Amino acid sequence: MQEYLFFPFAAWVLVSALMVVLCRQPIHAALGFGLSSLGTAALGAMVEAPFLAAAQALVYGGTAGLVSATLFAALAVKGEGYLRRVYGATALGIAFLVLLARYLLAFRVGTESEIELMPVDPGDLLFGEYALALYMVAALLLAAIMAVAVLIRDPGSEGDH
Amino acid sequence: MVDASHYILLAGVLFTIGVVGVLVRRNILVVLMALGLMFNAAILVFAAFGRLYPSGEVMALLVLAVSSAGLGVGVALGVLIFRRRKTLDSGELDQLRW
Repeated sequence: MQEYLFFPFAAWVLVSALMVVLCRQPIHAALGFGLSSLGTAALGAMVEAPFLAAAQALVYGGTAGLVSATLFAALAVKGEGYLRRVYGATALGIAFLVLLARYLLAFRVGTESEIELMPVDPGDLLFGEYALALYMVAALLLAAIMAVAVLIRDPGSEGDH
Repeated sequence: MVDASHYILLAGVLFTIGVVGVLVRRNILVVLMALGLMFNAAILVFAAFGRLYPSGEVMALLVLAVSSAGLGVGVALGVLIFRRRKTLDSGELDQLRW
């Protein structure tokens, strides 16, 4: 099964990655980045890492959406036809997220005997051997959130103090 | 038979495309996205090695978190630069040149 799926997904990842570099419009590059991330997430699911795949699809899907929103705000793209396509792409993205949520809700870990047969759980490693790294990454994420909040603060509010 | 070497080869090509994007493109947000492609390649390698070593998936998750933090701050910087300079062209940012 994996032999049949790997090469189409690999082609998908590479073509959409080339879109990022070659497309002149940044919004098309953002679309290519989102597609490439979803393809990489699918490849992650193929190597039996479904949690990583779901996390990557959500995080990078969100990043691609954020970049697209920034580009729309910056470029002030206008035009009914263009906006219609954007609404269509947004509806497709929401449909994808709903399908992903449905998959995640339907995902069953297995019976207790099956769980015992599984290799080492990444969650055990994350909160055991790699707990220090987890806390460092958590602190880094908190710092990043604070940095983003400070950076995109409305400059008009500075004069109020 | 698809094994880890296929994934590593794919990740290498993806990383190279990201490097080319960082070097060639001048739009700051596109450069950030090319950087994201390089992170994607790293995550793919860790996920492929997660089959052999259990810590591979953990490493991939940590890389994912760090890359999302970096990309988030990068997008915020892009917004800030656009607000001040009305451009996203990295070639226009030459105030630190000496």
